[in-house]
Parts: sequence; C-alpha cells; structure tokens
Amino acid sequence: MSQKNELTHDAPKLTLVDRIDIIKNHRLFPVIFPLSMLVVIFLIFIVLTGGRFADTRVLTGVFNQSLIVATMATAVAFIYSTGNIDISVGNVMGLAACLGALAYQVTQSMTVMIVVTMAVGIVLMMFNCVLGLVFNVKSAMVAIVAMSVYGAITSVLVGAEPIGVDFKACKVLEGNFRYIAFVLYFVVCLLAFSRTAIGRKLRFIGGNENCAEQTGINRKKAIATSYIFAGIGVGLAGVFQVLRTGNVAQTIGSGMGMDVMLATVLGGMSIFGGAKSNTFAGFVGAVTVTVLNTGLLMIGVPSTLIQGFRGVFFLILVFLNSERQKTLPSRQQF
Amino acid sequence: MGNVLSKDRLLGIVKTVAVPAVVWILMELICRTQAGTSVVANSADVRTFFRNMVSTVAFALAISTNLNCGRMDLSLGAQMYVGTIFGGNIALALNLGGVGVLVLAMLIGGLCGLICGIVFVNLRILPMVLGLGMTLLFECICFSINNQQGVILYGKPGVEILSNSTFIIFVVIALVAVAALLFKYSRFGYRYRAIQGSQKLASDAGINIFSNCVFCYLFGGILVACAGVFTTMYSGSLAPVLGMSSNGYVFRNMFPMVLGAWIGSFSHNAQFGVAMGAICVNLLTLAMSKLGLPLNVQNVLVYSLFLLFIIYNTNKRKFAYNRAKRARIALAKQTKAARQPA
Amino acid sequence: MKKLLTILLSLMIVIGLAACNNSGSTPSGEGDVSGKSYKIGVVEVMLNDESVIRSKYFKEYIGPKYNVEFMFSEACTDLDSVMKFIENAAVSGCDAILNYYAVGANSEQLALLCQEKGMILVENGGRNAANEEAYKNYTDTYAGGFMADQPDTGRLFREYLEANLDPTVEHNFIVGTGGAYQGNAQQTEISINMLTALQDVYGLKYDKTIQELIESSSPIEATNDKGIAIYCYPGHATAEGWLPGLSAALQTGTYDYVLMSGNVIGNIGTVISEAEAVLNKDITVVGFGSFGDALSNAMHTLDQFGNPTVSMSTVKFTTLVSAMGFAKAYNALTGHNEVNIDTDGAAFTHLFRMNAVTSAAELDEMGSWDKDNDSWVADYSVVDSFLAEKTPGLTAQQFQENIYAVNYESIKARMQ
Repeated sequence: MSQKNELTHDAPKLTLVDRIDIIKNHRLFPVIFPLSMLVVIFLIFIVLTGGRFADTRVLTGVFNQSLIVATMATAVAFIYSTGNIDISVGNVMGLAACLGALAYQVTQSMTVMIVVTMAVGIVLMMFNCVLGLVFNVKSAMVAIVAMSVYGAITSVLVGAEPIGVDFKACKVLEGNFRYIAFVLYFVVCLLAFSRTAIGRKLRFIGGNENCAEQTGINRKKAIATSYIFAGIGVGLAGVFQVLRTGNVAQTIGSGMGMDVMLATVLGGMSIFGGAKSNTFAGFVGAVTVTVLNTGLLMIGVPSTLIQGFRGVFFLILVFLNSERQKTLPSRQQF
Repeated sequence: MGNVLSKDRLLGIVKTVAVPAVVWILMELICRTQAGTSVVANSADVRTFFRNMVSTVAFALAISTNLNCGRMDLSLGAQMYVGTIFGGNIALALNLGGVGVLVLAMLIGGLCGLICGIVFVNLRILPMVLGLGMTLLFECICFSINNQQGVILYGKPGVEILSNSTFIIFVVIALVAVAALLFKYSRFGYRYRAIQGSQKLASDAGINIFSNCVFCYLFGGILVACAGVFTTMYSGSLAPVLGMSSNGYVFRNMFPMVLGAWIGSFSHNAQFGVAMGAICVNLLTLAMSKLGLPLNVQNVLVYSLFLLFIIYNTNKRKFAYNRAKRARIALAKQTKAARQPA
Repeated sequence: MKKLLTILLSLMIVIGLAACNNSGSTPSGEGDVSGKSYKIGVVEVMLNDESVIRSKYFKEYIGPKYNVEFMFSEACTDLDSVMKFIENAAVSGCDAILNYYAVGANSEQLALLCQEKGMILVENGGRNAANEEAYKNYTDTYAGGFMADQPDTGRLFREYLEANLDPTVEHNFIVGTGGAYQGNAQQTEISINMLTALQDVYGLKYDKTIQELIESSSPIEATNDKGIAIYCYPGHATAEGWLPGLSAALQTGTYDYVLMSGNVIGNIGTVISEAEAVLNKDITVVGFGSFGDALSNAMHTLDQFGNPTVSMSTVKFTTLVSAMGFAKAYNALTGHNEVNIDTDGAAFTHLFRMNAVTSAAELDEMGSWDKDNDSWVADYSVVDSFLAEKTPGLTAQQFQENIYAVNYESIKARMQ
C-alpha cells in the first residue's frame, strides 16, 4: 500500500492543460467534439428562438440545405485524407450538372441526366487526379486551374438562360431519391474509409507518404481510388443540385469549393490528412454551417453580419478541435 | 573564378530579362498579325500596363512571402479590400493625396496582416484554414463598418500621381528592392531562409520562428494593400465584397508568382523574377484584350498556359534526364558505329 | 495570449448575438393599420447602396407604420441560395417574399415553393415566356412582378441621342451589354433599349437580331445597313480583363459614344479619360446608374473637354420601387389580391418610370431625395395610394396610374 502511495507520489502531477491534451488526443475526439459543438449550437438557437428552432420544419430544412455540401464534403474527405487538396469540386459539380442538364434537354430522360452527371463528375475528378499523378503537379495547383477552366466552360455552355430540367419531374425524385442516394453513399464511404483497406491506405499515405510506400502501398493506385470515390460524390451532388433547382445557371458551383472546405474543416477533418481523418466530418460540418446560417437569420442577425459570425465561430471551433503544435503548422501544398 | 561567376551571373540576368522579352515579341507578332495593332500602342496602354504590373508584382510578392514557408494565406484578398477601402477613405478625408492614399492603405493593410499573423502564431491552426476564417471576418468588417461603401479614387484631387508612369516604375523598383533586401540580405532574410529549410532546426538554433512569421504576414498585408490602391486607381473605385469572393485575387496572382519563381531562379533573385513574371502575364492579358477575346476564353487560355507551365516546371528534371539519356544513347551508338570496322 | 484571443472571439459572438437578438425590426405597434402584423422576407441579389436604402426604408419607415417586420437575405447569386432563404424565411414566420433575384425560368418553381410554404411571392421582374406559368396558374400566391417601364426607358435614351447626335457627323458606339448574356433581366432590357434607340435614331437595320446581339458572350460588331460601327461589349467591370478590353476598343479611335447597360459608371472613368487624352477626342458616356457617390463623382468630374465624365444616366428612386414591391405583397396579405390581377386573370406586372439625369445640378437635386425619413420619395401618402386597404376600390390599373403619378415634378413639388 505504502509502495503504491510512493509511486503515486513520485508520478508527475497532470496539469489541466495535460488533461485537456489527453482528451484531445483520444482517437474519438475529432468525431465527438464537432458533434457536441453542433448539439451545443443547436441548443443555443433553440433557447434564443424560444423553441422555434426545434420545429420539424426547421430540422428538415437544415438537412435538405446541407445535403449538397455534405455530399461533396464526404467525397473530398477521401482526397483530404491523403494530404491532397481539391477546391475545384464546386466547379466540377457545376460542369457535371450542366452537361447532365444538356443531356436531359436532348433525351428528356431523367435517367440519362443522372448517368451523365455522375459520369462527368467522375471523369473530371479523374482528370484532376491524372494531372497530379502523371505529371506530379500539386493537387492544390491543379484545383486552382480546374476551378477557372471548368467555370468558364460552364458559363459558355449555359449561355443567357438557365438550362432547364422539368422541375416537376425533379420534384418527384427530390425527396426520397435524394435521401436514399445520400444515405447509401454516406454509408458506403463510411464503411470503405473506416472498415476496409482503402481507408487505411489513404490515411497511411496522408500520415507519411514515404512510409506508406515503403510498406508496399501503391500510392498512385490509392490516390486514384480516392478521386474515384470523390468523383462519385461530386457527381451525386450535381444530381442533387439539378433535382433541387430544376435548372442549371452560369454561376452553379462557383465558390462552393470553399464552402466544402469550410464544412470539412469545421467537421473536424484536417486538410493535411492522416490518421485522424474521417468521412463523417463533412456531414457534421455542413450541418453545422447550415444550422449557423438558419439560426442566425432566425434570431435576427443582419444579413451583412452573418458571415462575420460564421468566421468567428469557425475560428473558435477549429482552434478548439485542433492539436496545438509546438512549431507553426505548415506544409508545401503548392 | 571571379570571371566565371560574373559571367554566370550576367547570363542569369540575361535569361531573366529574356523571358519577358520573348513573351513581348510573341504577343507583338500575334497582335500585329491578328488585330493590326501593337500590344502597347500608346501612352494609355503604357499606363495601363504599368498599373496592372505594379498590382501584380505586389500581390505575387505578398503570396510568395508566406507560401515559400508552406503557408498559404487565403485572406490576402480580404486584407487588400480592408487596407484599400479604409486607408483610401481616411487619406481622402484628410486630403493627403495619392501618396497619402498609398501610405495609409499600406499601413492598414499591414495592420490586417499583423492581426492575421498574431492570430496564427497563437492559435496555430492550419494557415489555409486560418485564411478562410480571416477572409470571412475581414470581408464582413469591410462591408459593415463603412455602411457598405467602398472607395472612389477616380476624379479625386491629388491622386493623379498614382497614374503617373514614372511614379509607378519607382514603386515597382522600390517594392522589388525592399523585398530583395529583406529576403536576401537582411538578418530577417537569413532567418527566413533557415526556417524555409527546417522550421524545427531553425527554432532549435535560436531563431524566433514566431516573430519571423508575424513579420511575413505583416509584409504580405502591406504589399496587398499597395496592389489594391493601383487596382482601384485603374478601375476608379473598389466596392466591398462578401462570400469569400476576395479569394479570387489570390488565385489569379498565383500564375505570375509561380512563373516569377522560375524566372528568378536564373538570376537567383526570386523578387526580381516575380517582377518579370508579372510583366509576362500582363503582356499576355493585354494582348488578349487587344485581340478582343471573350473573357471566358481569356480565362481558359491563361489558366491552360498556367497548367502547362506547372507541368513543365514540375517535370523539368525528368525532361532533362530524358534528354541526357537520349544523348548518351546516341553517343553510345555513335561510338559503337565508329569502332566497328568499315 | 491564445486564451485571450479565444475569449475575445467568444465575447464578440456573445455580445453580437445579444445585440442582434434585440435589434430585430419587430414592429413597434405604433402603426395606424389595425389588426395583424406581417413579416416579409427580402431576397437581395447584391448588397450595395440600393439595398442599404431599401433596408433602412423598410425597417425604419414602412415597418412601424404598417405593422410589418422585414428579414433580409445575404446576397443571393443563384437559385439554390434563394430557395434556402425562402425555406428559412418560412420557418422564421415570414408571410411573403420580395424577390430581387428574378430569373424568368425560376419563377414557377419559386411560386410553387412559396405556395407550399403558404407565402406570397412578389418578384422584381416582368412577365415573359419563361414565367408564363407562374403568372397564369399561381395567382393565389404569386402576386406578380414590378419593374421599369422598358419602352419608356428606351424613350429616354432615344430622346437624349436625338437631341445630342448630329446626323451629319459620323458617330460610332460601344454598347456595354453587361450581364445580358447571363440573363440579367435589367441589363437585358436596358441593352435592348439602347440598341433600339440607335435603330430608331439612325433608321438602321441590324444584320442580326437585337436578341442575338445582346446574348453574345463574346464582343460582337452589330453590323448594319448604315455602316455605323456599333460594338456590343458584354461582361462586368469587376471581371478580370473587362476594363483592358474596353480600353483596347476605345483606343482603336473608332468609337466616340459609350452606352453602358450595367451600373459601371464608377469603374470606367479612368479608362475613358485616358483614351480621351491619347486620342484627343471627346467620348460621351451614357449609362444606367444609381444615386450614390459613384454617379455623383462621375457627374461632377469634368474631362479635358470640360464635359462631365457621364453625360446622361437613367436613374430610379429606390424607395418608389421598394414601395411597389411592398404594396403588392401587402395587398395580397390583407386579402386584396385583386389589385395584383390583370384583366386576363394573370398576375399583373406593375411598372415604374426611370428618370434621366443630364447634369450635376439635376443630380444634386434628385440626389438629396431618398436619403432619410424626411426625404423618402415614396412617403406614406404614396404608399397609401398603392394599398387597397387605404385606398378603397383600388384596382391594378389604378395602382399603376398612382405609380406613374410619382414623377419628377410631383416629387419636386412635395419636397419643396
């Protein structure tokens, strides 16, 4: 007994900071923390709106509004986990949706529209991937170029009037089809990322690329797989976008790449990838952003200030969620 | 040895200057044959060219300041808006003239950079992520505080100097010289390059990596505000924006920065290289304007060239290796053929 | 330091939220319209001078008097963001939506969405082939549109050109078609007006249709039987390469008139004056502007020939246009939707007339209006004349007449 006391006595005492660090280093922290923050924000808005925020209409609205960004954020988690960045996903989605809508105008078939949008999404993401893998161009650079080029092509293709898709037909598919497709994609991503070798390889590459290659992982193949998963998600988001709006305008997807990155990071994912990556983050982040937007609007925050509040919330949540390094975080991503 | 060195240096400088010269000749030929005019046809063109060049040089230098240390600052565009709008309006209210506008804008831009740097070294969240958050904040501040009003420079008394070609050239030279002195020959620069090599080693060697970083952000803020003033002088006014649209400035100045880094490698002077890169890209855009190309086509062309350049730049060693290999094989074949009896 | 920063950031949120929670534009109950209070969501497409005036006018002037609370969107630049705002407005208790992001192809869908949410929809736009369904089949919730009287705007340009153009001297034109190629309703209409005015003044015939000319995303020569050079130049001043493109066109020395459909008056001054200096040629700028520093600056700044940078600009009174939209929504909410219905049973589009400003003095006079509660162009008497509840027996046509009655002369008389 006395020996045990002696041992305890000799052990260094844990300070509050140490204890916080231990909690923050827990493997489930990146998942639980953003989720708890979401719940806290949600509860705050329920109080501030006198309970109106808990209305089922609000909840359904939040889910519906988050769906497109959530799908894309889930998709890019595969890319981010390897330490690569792609901020062109918004414009890829836009061009995919544009070509899908054009295909619909030619064939008047929703099936064709869905197939074309998905296919274009995958092809464009693979094109970005090829530029990176074959020509060794940093993914962020590829994304900057792709953003502008895809955006310009979409603008030319759309022209003065939005490309219309029968929105009544869209409405039929909008509800259940969207929910089922998203849940299916989300579950597949979740399983592939956390329960299969695909996810393990991607996280390993993100953690240490050289080490991963030394252990026999085919880096190029793994990264290509990540882009295929992302392409499917981006294509699916394009389909969701067409189904929701019933037409494709010139501005489709512009700026959405940044929204996706914001959501992903807010959900607890590091853009440097690695072992703590997860596909869950995108969904949580997208919902958090939507909850913030809706909640702030409902409590009467002027529209011009909403962005500022979003920025402050974002910085605080990211700070609380990230591991504080002894040196400054940096990485040559360009 | 000294002669060899100076010869190398001279060759480097010639190569550095030759790149924009080649671009100019190429653009001149295209414009003359396709549009029947010169790229730079008159004094208005000269002013337009210089004004755009100083903006590009300043912005590209600002991006490179942090990017070379692995920090991508996405809030530079928003800092430009805050600096130019607030600095410009204060200077105009105080009747400080064009130089006053420039100086105050740079001061406020620097303040934004300083805030960004302090937040970064204290929160230590990823630079790109911090950039997103700060962009949201700066854009909101810029938009809300001044009742959504921007800054108008056109027609304001005393600001004509900002359109004066001699003054603009002086500013370009000053910017490049200060940046070169800072990053190449000052104590800050030595430390900066040590940190560039290895942050951990530099820190262990006693270099204060945090103050160095804050200074980089500060310098970046000053430079983008300078870019903002000349951009506004050309467009007449600058209105605040929301929705992270200020990021566009960062992306569009990546090409001159990357190109400049490559050109600068000839003369071992990145800052001079950035100036040359800015000249190349501005000649290209000016030529496309002369040709009357649609804006979308201009976008596609510029970014496609950017992509081709990055592909070349990333793989140049591979290309050189393959060239050397081919030469070796050819030589071997030649030798073999020569040794074979007739 | 990091703790201090976190605390500071957190404090900013808490104080901000607390302040905002109390700063809503809830009606004070001092209004003289008895009964129910309403909430209207306003979809803004750009946050600029106009939206600032509108927000102030609605919140401080209209809200308290008519028991109406207003909720404003962020800048909505696509249909998805408009839909999100409408959904959020619905759960926030809005009864009507005033949509300034009006694209014909979206109207039916938005009308359906508002119908599902039990809200009234009013749009800043007019009836066209793309939104015919909304105008005809959703009249219970779609209260129609409000927009500028386009033929009248065309008249303003025509009259100005007729009065200032010497037919014996050769003139050539750059027509900035702005976002017409992207479907921007206002810039489409103004571009059409400008090209039509040139057609009327010179009696010329374009080789292509005006629609083809304005929908081109590339710069295009509007070739015609009279050989007058008319260069249609699309795009926005904020787009990279737009200003150098305009500068390049001007420096060819061909053009001496610049007609701009977009609100770019604040952006083209430098390019114009530099081209004038190089070519030693007076370039006349005619365009569309809004009251504010940019237009005022352009009207007061003289070029080297002693002319103002902008010679003529069409302008609108923000509160008059805003009052029209409000009145349409309010009439529908108070059970007077008949005021929004045309004789053919479809929703009615109410029109306002723009004004032409040709001198700094004129602008200074008009510019002093629409500033605050003492100078709103659409004061209570004007708004009341748009409301069926206040003007018994009001019809859609009378509503229209009452709008037209608010003109330069009547406003001037009232302000004096």
